[in-house]
Amino acid sequence: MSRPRNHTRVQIPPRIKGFIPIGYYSRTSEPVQLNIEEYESIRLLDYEGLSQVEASEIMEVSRPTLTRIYERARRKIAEALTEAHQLIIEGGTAIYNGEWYECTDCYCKFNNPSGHIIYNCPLCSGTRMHILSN
Amino acid sequence: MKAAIPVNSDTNEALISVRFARSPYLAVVDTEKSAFEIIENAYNKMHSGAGRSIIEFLVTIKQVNTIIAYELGLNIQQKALQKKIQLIILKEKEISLKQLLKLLRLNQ
Repeated sequence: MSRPRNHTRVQIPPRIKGFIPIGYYSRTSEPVQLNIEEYESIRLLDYEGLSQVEASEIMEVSRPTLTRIYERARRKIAEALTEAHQLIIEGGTAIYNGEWYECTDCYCKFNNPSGHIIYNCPLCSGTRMHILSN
Repeated sequence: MKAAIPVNSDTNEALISVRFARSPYLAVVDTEKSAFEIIENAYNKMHSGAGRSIIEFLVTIKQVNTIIAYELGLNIQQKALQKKIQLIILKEKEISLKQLLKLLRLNQ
């Protein structure tokens, strides 16, 4: 039996839940699932332009582990782009830095650094929200 | 709550700026006093370290405890989490300061 994967640290939740192919009129195929830590590796390495050593420190994993996460992420994105699959960003072993919530009234995402119980969205004062992480 | 919002110009019709540290102006909104001011971002031309410098300025000089933005750079995220600043990530970038003030129920 393989060893369970260690948790990786993610700073901010992804903005969206995934992508759908445009101009593909065939029956919807099985979506490709990009884990949150795979998304984070793409964000840190390709969007922020960090080195693998810097990104691995932020995600609190070893450099070789980050390389494997990044390779998986690229393979999945390539598969989704080439084969016209939906890409769903969810799951994996990532944990966020602190608690993150999504308001279901204004759809903003916010964290809770004070640790106090939150009753209202800090932006719109709405009461409907769900936690994204612990 | 005292929040900083990156904006493209110095009027309340201004759209929010996509990158926080590189925005030309920042609106500092005080929801308890129901007041806001727009200040020029003196750090946006810095070659590097703009994110860290602007957070330091906002926390120490303006007593900001919340950041409202569409996108935050890595340095800003790290510094803000370190300083226990609340981050509010907006769902859209085509939103004006006026609309945000309305959401925050601020009398203009």
